[in-house]
Amino acid sequence: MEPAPAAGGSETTRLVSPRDRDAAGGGLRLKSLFTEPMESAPAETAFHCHRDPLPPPGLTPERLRAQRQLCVACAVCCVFMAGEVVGGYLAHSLAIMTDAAHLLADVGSMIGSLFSLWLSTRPATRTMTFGWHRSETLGALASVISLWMVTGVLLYLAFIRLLHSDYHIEGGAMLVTAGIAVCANLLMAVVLHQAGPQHSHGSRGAEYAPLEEGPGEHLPLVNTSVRAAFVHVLGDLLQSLGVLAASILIYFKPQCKAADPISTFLFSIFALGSTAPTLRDVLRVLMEGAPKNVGFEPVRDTLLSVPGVQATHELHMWSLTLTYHIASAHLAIDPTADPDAVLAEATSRLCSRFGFSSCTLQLEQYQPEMDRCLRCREPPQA
Amino acid sequence: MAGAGAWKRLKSLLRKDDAPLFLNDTSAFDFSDEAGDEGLSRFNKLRVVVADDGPEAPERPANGAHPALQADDDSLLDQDLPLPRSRLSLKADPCASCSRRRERLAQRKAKTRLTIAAVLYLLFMVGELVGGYIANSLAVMTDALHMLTDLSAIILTLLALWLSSKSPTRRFTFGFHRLEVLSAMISVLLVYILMAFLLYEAVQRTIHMNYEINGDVMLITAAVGVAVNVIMGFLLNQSGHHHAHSHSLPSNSPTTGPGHGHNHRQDSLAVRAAFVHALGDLVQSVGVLIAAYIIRFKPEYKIADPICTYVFSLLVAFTTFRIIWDTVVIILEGVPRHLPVDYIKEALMKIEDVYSVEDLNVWSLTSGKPMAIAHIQLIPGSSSKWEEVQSKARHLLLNTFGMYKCTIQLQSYRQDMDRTCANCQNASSI
Repeated sequence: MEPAPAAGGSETTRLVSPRDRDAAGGGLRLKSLFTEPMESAPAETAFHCHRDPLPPPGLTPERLRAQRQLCVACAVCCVFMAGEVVGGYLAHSLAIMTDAAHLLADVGSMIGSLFSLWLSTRPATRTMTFGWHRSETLGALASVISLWMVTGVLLYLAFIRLLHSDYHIEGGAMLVTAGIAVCANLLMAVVLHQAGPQHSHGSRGAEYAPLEEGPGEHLPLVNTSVRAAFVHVLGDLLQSLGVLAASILIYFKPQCKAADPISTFLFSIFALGSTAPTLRDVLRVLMEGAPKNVGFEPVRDTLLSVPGVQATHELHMWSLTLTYHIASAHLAIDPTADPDAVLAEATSRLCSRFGFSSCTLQLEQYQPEMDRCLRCREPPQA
Repeated sequence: MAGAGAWKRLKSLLRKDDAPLFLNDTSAFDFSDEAGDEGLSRFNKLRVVVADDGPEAPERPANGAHPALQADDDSLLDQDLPLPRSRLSLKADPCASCSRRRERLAQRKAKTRLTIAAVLYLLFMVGELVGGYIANSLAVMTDALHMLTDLSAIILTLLALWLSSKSPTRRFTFGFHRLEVLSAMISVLLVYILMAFLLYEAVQRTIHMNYEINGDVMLITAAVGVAVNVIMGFLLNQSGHHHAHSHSLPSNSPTTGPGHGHNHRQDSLAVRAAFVHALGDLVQSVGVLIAAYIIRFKPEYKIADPICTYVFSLLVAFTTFRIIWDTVVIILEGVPRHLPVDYIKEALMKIEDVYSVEDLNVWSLTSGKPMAIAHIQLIPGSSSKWEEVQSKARHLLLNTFGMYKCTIQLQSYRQDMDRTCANCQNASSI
């Protein structure tokens, strides 16, 4: 299915970023098969649809860093869990064992994040034409859901306790456990923390030419898997803080044992609330929604501003992950316009101004019926 | 590559035979006899109940008017036309209003039928749960869980119907179809959580053996369960005869895509799938009934209760696994199972004046709504024929392969591109 090799030499396209030439990590087939000398670029802009490629498969530095962060966090969690299991066994304390089980769930979700990260580095296949980038987002969803499930179990147990009120709490063991849990979660949060919104030039980092300012804020250059694991750990930290507070209270005033389930309720609600922003973003991506920082009107106006374009319809924008966006649209052009020029101009404007990783534009001759066509109308404001 | 293409077609035809034998929970509600359905990775085949002329209900544009047909390129859908220059779809269908009215009526009928089925399922399920709780029998409650999966399939179908009538907005440019996929995933997760809970109880019972089962109540509930399954089976399967029409996507070109075919064959496949599912349901209910008999007349064999739970939990897991798999593939933006990307690329390359096809991406919005984007390069010197090539390519994708929407970018020939651009090399070597 390879197209027949071109007869001529190869032109350099100055729009192809030099980053494409480097074999960044394994799994890439980036080495050029042809070694003929590069001729100078022609006078006009050599248009090419791959000016801003999709994120390359394989381990980019960003992904390597994310992987390292997740591995370290996982190791920390395992160490603490092992310590708690041993300590709980020696002290015959149920509370400590329960917390060890909680840490086990954490380890599980972190392993899930690692897996989804590894999966997203795989190259595209015939059944996954975009590659595996979405697995990051799916992993993030799984991580958040696992937090919800664990919180659900805790809430259920707390509810039962409040109802029956026939439980006995060992203040000392609870204090120790809560302290350990807080330390573990704090350590993991520090490991998983990623620098806040850097001055990212759209979706690809500083190697590319700076973009024009699009509407909305800059995207934080964070890896989705790490972000989800961080949110999970943050939720756990909140819960552990609640347990610590309650345990201090119970240690000094053993009759207030109702503080245990009550604090569980309170801090669980906080923890669930802290997952809301991530959940919202992840769901937006999975629902094929438009990227958050790219508005419909600016994109449409940019397309309309290209000389030769009379109307646009079927404008779709969606994200592969939180940082890589794709657009497709149908453009109705004047009969007198040159399709190639319009295509080149429209694509370059879209990609440079909004940072779309890939855009596909279908050109059509403008027909007056388009004004009346119901399906050419724009979608209403969300 | 013709040999490989033929082999793939053969494989997909064979696959159509395989699909119904799989005790897929949702395969019961497969009333479709339109082309290409058997190989589709549908996780909820109930949806086709409402489609009269196409795989799914048409999407309504913002101002509420109804397009007559659902595909992007309506004018080409039902007729063997020479490809028109214009791809607009406002051709005057002589009986557009009649067909629209018929469609709406069919949809409403299907919606009513589904809602009744859903309410009945809910009532029976609650009844069985209560009966199982009173009888303290886990097997009865597992049977109720199985009903929950059926109920969620119906609810998903209704959801999909409602969603496809919602027009897309600026934030969700494709509409809300994906919500159906996410709901399917969540409903299966819910079933798994409940099943885990029941399994935990069953294990506790097996270890401690300190439970008493009220044999009488269990017997009555199990008998009612069998009756309910039989009734619901008839209720939902009888409407399969409605769809005795033969519209199907036209295979007017000799290169029919895989999954097109013989309507009579799909009728029998759909009927067989429904039969197999009904049989599975009945077997499970009868199993619970037998266990109830055993426990009622020989209370010392109460181990039959947890055993039933184990077996039926396995059954439920087995049948819903495919749903999870399909939804995960859709969410990962993977190619739907019934569409071979190689074959599509080949077919596109066969169009005159096409030099290369790059960046062919196929994914699903939801099951039954595949989308495609492609970048096509024309051979040198044929830039003036771009409109013809474009309309042929669109016709190919929309009609032969049944895409819901597609966007095709045509470029004139640039001889250097494939050699130096890394991504083009990636794409062409895939």
